[in-house]
Amino acid sequence: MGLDTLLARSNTQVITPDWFNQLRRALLLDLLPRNASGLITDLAGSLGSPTIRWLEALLQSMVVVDGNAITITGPNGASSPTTLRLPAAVPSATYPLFVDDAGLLTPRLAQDADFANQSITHSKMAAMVAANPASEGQLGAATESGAWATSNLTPTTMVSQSAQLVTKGRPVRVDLQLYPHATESPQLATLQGFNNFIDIQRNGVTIVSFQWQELDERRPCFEHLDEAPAGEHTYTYRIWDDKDNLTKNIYRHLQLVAVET
Amino acid sequence: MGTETLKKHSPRDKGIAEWFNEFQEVLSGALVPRNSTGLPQDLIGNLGQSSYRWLNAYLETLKVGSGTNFTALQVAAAIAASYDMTLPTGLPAQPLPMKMSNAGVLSTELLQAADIANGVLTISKRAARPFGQVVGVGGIAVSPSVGVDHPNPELASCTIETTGRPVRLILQPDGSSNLCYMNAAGADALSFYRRASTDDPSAAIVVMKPPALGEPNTNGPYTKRYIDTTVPAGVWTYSLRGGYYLYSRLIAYEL
Repeated sequence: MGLDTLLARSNTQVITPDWFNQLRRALLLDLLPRNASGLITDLAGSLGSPTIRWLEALLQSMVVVDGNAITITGPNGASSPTTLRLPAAVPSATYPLFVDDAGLLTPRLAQDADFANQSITHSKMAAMVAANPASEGQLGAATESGAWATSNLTPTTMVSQSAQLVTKGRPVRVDLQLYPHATESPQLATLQGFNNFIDIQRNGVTIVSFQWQELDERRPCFEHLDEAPAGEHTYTYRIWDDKDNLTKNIYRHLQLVAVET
Repeated sequence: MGTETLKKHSPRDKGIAEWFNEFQEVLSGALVPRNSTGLPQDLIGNLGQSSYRWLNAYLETLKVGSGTNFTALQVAAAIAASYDMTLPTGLPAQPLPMKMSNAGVLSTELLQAADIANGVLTISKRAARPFGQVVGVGGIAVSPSVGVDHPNPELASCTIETTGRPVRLILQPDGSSNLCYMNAAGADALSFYRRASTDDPSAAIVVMKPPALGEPNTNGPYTKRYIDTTVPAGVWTYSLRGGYYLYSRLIAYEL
């Protein structure tokens, strides 16, 4: 490496061997950039230009220095030559980089095949909260039915106790369950009757009807797996009877919940 | 490429044209490193130094490596426009995916949900869900089968670690040929209880309590279902208390 400043010469000067030795020294060992005056200067020049490029740079390692240095080396013990091809363009947002078997680096969203089988644990799942209306991935939980109520001969949809959620097309599990109790309480959820019915509806259309026939049989939990299409859904229920007042349903503290499976 | 040795000259030397030609040849074609005597030699020099850096290197291919096994870095065949690519600011503490921003900045970080295309993950990519009376996050907690009448309060209990998502509770038959049975007479009511796993069983609270049946009654255990929407993250022991039940298991799993 020659650290000499490469001086310009004038016509009247005598050519000496040192002129050539200076050039020679500049080409030995480290090759450094020089400014227009021949002085070694940081960042004074480039290797090649945008239109006159070097074909290849063969290096043991490449060090990119901007303050601290980043060293790029080839893998140890590579069994064959490898070519990595940089993306054709920067992505529109931040994406993971994937390399294919042709060495092409591509920024894109991860797909199913990018994950090893059985590698995604439950801890990686996003939080699920109960809400109404519920967004995608959340559990739609209706308000509870409140104190004692009695069914009618005419089915009445309990609109105020609907569970709303947005789904991606996976089956929706709908449960009519007891309202939670933080402590033991006299507010016991109940559903009893004889020869009576419960309908569960999606967007005003009955998707399943339950009937029970024994007096005092309490089945305060009904469940149904609904093959609902993707979209925004409102689930409701209605309790009704088909006979007379003696066998009407009576119920209290029920809650409809719906969750995409 | 000039591979000849760049000779040192002395005042006695002659042949000025040859001297120029030496440099002309050395600077034409491939430029190779040379040792201090002017001889081309592998790995003898650098292109620039940490304090004397080249501003840019315009290359078609960068090859890094040794012997015949180089890793070549090229641009994709169809590059739409020039862009800058900035290397990560540091090495990660562990192997991590690399990401590229719309400014060309490379970074290493864990994948987020936004990095995964919607609707693509299949069930086979989900981790297995272990079964057991005590399970960690993602497991399915299963109580022992209750085969005797009137069990003690924690006989049909199971423990699960949760992340804050709702927990589904099911009392279901144990799968044996025995007749599963539950009976809650008088003031009894079969209820789901929950307590922190480190708490005494007496600290358990009711999470679901059905009405007491007016008379001895037999229901299949399939009638017991509940989604506990109020459970925070933690390690919880669920149990079924009150009344009688036979040949059934309590199951708890996080949705």
